[in-house]
Amino acid sequence: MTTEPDTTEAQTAEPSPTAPAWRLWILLVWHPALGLPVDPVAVLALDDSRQPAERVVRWVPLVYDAADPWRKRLGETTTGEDTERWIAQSGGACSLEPADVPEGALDLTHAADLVLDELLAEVIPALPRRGDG
Amino acid sequence: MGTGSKSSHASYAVGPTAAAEPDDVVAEAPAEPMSDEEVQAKADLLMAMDLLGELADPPFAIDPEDSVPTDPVERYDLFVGQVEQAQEAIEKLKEAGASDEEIEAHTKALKAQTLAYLNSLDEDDLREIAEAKGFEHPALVGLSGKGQHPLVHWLDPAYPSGIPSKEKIQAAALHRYQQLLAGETVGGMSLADLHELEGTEPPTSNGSWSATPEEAKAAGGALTGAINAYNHAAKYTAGGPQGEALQAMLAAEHKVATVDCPELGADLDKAKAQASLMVDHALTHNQLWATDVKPLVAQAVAAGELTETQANHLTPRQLVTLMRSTTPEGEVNSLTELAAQRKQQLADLDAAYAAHSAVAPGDGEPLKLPPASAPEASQAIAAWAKNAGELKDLQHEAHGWYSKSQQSLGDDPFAEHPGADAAKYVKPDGLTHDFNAWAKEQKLADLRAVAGEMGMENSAAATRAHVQQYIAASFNPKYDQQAIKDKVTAGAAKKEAAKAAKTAAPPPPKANGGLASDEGSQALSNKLSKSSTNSPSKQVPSAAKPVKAPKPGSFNANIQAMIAQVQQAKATSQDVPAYVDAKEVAGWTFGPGTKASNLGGTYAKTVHSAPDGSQWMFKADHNHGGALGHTEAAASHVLSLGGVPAVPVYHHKKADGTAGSIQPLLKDAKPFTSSPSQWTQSQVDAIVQSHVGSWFVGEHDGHQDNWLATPSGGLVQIDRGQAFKHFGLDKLSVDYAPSGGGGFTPIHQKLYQSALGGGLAKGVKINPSAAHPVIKKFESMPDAQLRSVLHTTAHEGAKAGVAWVPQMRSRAAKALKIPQSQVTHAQVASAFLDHAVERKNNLRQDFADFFVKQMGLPSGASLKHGGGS
Repeated sequence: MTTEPDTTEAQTAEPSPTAPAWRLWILLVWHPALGLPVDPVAVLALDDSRQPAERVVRWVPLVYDAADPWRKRLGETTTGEDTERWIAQSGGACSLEPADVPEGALDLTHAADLVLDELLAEVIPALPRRGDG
Repeated sequence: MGTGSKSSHASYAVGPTAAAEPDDVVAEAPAEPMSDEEVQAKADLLMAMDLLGELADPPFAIDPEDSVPTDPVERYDLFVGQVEQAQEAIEKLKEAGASDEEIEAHTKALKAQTLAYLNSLDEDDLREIAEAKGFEHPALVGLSGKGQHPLVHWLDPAYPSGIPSKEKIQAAALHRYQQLLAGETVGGMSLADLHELEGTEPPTSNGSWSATPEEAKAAGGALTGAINAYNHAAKYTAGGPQGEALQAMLAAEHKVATVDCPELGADLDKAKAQASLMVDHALTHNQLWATDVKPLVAQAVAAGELTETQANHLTPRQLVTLMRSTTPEGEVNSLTELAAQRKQQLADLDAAYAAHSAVAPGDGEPLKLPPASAPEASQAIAAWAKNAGELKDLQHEAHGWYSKSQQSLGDDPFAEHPGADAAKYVKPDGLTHDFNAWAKEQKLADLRAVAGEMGMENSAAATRAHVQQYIAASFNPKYDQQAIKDKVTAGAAKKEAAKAAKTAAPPPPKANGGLASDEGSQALSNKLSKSSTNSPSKQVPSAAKPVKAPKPGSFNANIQAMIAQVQQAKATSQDVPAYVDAKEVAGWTFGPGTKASNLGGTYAKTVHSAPDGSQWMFKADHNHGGALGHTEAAASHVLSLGGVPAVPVYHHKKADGTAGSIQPLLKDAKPFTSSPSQWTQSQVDAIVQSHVGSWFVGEHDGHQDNWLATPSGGLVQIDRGQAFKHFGLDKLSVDYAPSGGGGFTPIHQKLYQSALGGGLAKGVKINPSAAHPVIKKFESMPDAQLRSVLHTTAHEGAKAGVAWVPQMRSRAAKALKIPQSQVTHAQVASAFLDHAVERKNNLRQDFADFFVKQMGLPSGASLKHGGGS
C-alpha cells in the first residue's frame, strides 16, 4: 500500500515549549434560529512559530453543507493574515472566535481536540435547532 | 405562598363580582380547583424528583434491599428510570392543563437535576456506563479530564437519544479511532494504549476481495492517484469532469476498504484507515454541487445502493457520505432517517400548498375565503389561517435543502412541488394585507367567532384590530397570540376596575388566580414547586459535584448567555426589519449587553434588548471613534431610500462612551448557498438591484457568505461595513473585486461571470430593466437629501482618516488647485459628498454602459431612457 497519512490536515508538532505561539479559533457559521453567526463548525489551530504556520483543523462531526463557507475559505494553507482578514470580514454570516489554549495540551492537534471536546460537551447541546431542514 | 405556582393564590377568597356584561366576562379568570389528574401528576413528579436526589446522595438504608446499588451501570439504570417517571409526570401535568411556564420550570429543574447527577460521576464511571449503553470507544472523548465531560451530555436522559448533539459525540470518538488505526496518536494515546485501556483486541481486517500484497499496494496507489485527480478536478473544473473524478475516487476508496490480504497483517488496517482519512480530507476541502454527483447518484440508484428517497431528499455531501463504504453505520442510519423525514415534510408541504393556493391564488387576486357569516365558515377560516402558518414553516424548513437536492436539477425543478418554489412562499405581510382587506367586509361578531375557534377565549372583548391580528398571528410572526389575549384581558380588567371603583364594590380577584381543591393539594403544590424550581444544589446533596459553570468570558459562557437572551425574546422577526428614523432609535434605551463575541476587545459584539423586546447587535468601533458606525448606518439608510433590501443599521454610543453601530438581529433568515445555475429569475433580479445599491455606496464585499435568504424567499445582503472603503478608486466592472478571491468574490460578479459563461439555469438571464426601479428611486432623491444623509459619515470619516480619505484629499486638491497637505478635513468631506452626488446622478448612464459594453446586452441601452418618466 502506498497511501500516506494526511499531513495537511493535522501536522502535529512535538510537545512544545512554544505554546504561546499557538492560536486557536472556533469557526462559526450563521445560525438561522438565532440570527447570528454562532454555530460552530470547526476548530482551527495555528502555530505561528513555524514557517509556514503549522495548521490543524478539527471539523465538528456530522456537519454537512453548513460548513461550506469555511471549507471555501480555508483552502490548503492558513496564515495569521488570513485570520486577521476573516476577523475584519466577520460581520456577515461567518465569524470566528478565539479560544484559549487548553491547559495540558500535548501538541497543537491535542489542543484542537480539547477545544472540540468542549464544544461537543457544552456549546453544541445548548444551541437550539437550526431549523433549516 | 410566593412560589409562583398556580395554586399559590388558593387561600384568597374570591369576592363576589358585579353582574357581568358579556364583554367583561374575560376579566375574571375562572377560579378552578386543581383537578385530580393534576394533583396526581404533581405527586408523581415530587416522588420522582425526591428519588433522583436520593440516588445522588443515598440515605442510610436499614434493609440492604433498599440500598442504592454501588455498580455505576445499575445505578444509572435506576436513575434513568426515575427521570422517565418524572418526564411522564410532567407530560401528565401538561395534559391536565398546567401553564407553559410551570411545565418549563419543571423541565428545567429536571435537566438541572440530571446534569448535577451525571457531573457527580467520575470519568471512569462515565466511560463504563457509556460503554455499557453502546458507546464505542468512550476513552476517545473528554480527553482533558477537565471541564464538563462530553459523555455527560451523551448519557443525559433529559435529552432524547439519537439527537444530533449526541450523535456528534459518538462520531468524534469514531473519527479519532480511525486516526489511531491510521497510526496517529490521540491525546498521547496510541491504538495499542486504547485497546489496553479497553481490554480489547485491535480488529482484524476483513475484506470482500482477496489480494496479494502487490495487488493491495496497487489499490492504494490507485487511490492516491484518484484523490489527486479529484483535487485537481474540484479546483479547476465543474459538473461532468468533477463528477467523474469524484466517482473514481469513491470507487478506489471502496476497493481499498474491502481488500483482504492476511499477509499484510496490521499494516493493512493502518493503510485502510489512512486511505479513509485522505478521502475525508479531499471531500472536506472541496465544494460538492448537486450536478457533480448526479451521474454517481443515478448509478447508485440503478444498482440499488441508494433508494429514490435518499437520492431525492439529501444534499450532495450527505449523498456522498452515504455512498462511501467507510461511513459508520450510525451515520448511515441517521441520513436514511433524515431522507424519510424530508420526504414526509415535502408531502405535507404539497398538501398545505394545494389547500392554501385554492384560497390565496396570489398575483394580486383577493382571498377566496367564504363570508364569515356563512354556516361553519368560522371553522373553515380558522383552518385556512392555521394551514397558512404551517405552510410557511414547511417552506422555511425545505428551503435549506431542496435547492441542493437532485430534485432541483430538472428543467422545471418545482413541477412536482410548486409550494417549494421561493416565488410561492407565504409572505406574511402581504397575506396579512390581503386578509385585512377581506376582513374589512366582515362583521366583528363573525370575526370574533373565527378567533374563538382559534383559541381566543376572550374574543368577545376584543376589538376588530385585535381579532384580525390574532387570526393573522397564525402566519405572521409579527403578531403574538398570547400577547394579544393578554392585551385584551388587561383592557377589560381596566374597564372592570373603573366600574368597580365607581360602585365601591370589592376588588375583583387577580386574573390568574386559582383555587386549590383542598389543603393537601395546596401543601403538595407548594412543596413541589419549591423543590423543583430551587437551585440544583438544594436537591442534590453535597456529595454531588456542583454543575460546572462555563469559565466566565469563555466562548462557551458567552454563547450560553447570549442564547438564553435571544431565545427569551418574543419572536419579532419580519423578513427584514424596516428602517426607522435614526433619531427615534437614538432615543431608545437598550438593555445591558450579552457578549456575542470576544475578539480581543477590538471587534467586540454584544446583543441587547430594545424597548419592544426585540434583539439588537452592537458592534464597537474602537479604531475610528465611531466613524465606521456612521458609515454603515449611512449606507443602510441610503439603500433603504432606494428600496434595496438592507438590514437597518444605526450609529450608537453606549453609556460607557463606546461608539459603534447597532442593528436588529435577522432571525429565521438562512444562508443563501445555492449555485448560480440554480438561481431563479427573481433571485437574479434581486442581485442586479442590490448591485446598483452596492455600487452607489461603494461597497464591494457582497460575497455569497454575506447573503441570506429570508423566510419569504427574498434575499438580503448583510454587513455593509466596507461601504465607501474604495470610494473614488473603485470601478463598475465585471472583474472589479478589491476583497475578492478565496471565496470572497462578490455575488454580482459571480452572477455576471456565470451569465457570460452560460452558467445560469435555462430561461434565467440578466435583465437590465430590473435595475431600473432602484435607479429611479435613487435618482428621485434630491442632492441635498443625499448630502444630508452622508454629512456625518463624510465629516467624521475625514477626521478619523478612514480608508477613502487619501483619494478624496487628492480630488479636493485637484479641484481647489492646492497642495494635498493644505486640504482641510472639511474640504475632504466636501469632495466625498460631491463624489456621492456625482455617482448618484450618473447611475443610469453608468449601468446602461455596464450592461451594453461589459455584459454584451444591447437591451441595457434602454436604461438610458428610463429617467424622468
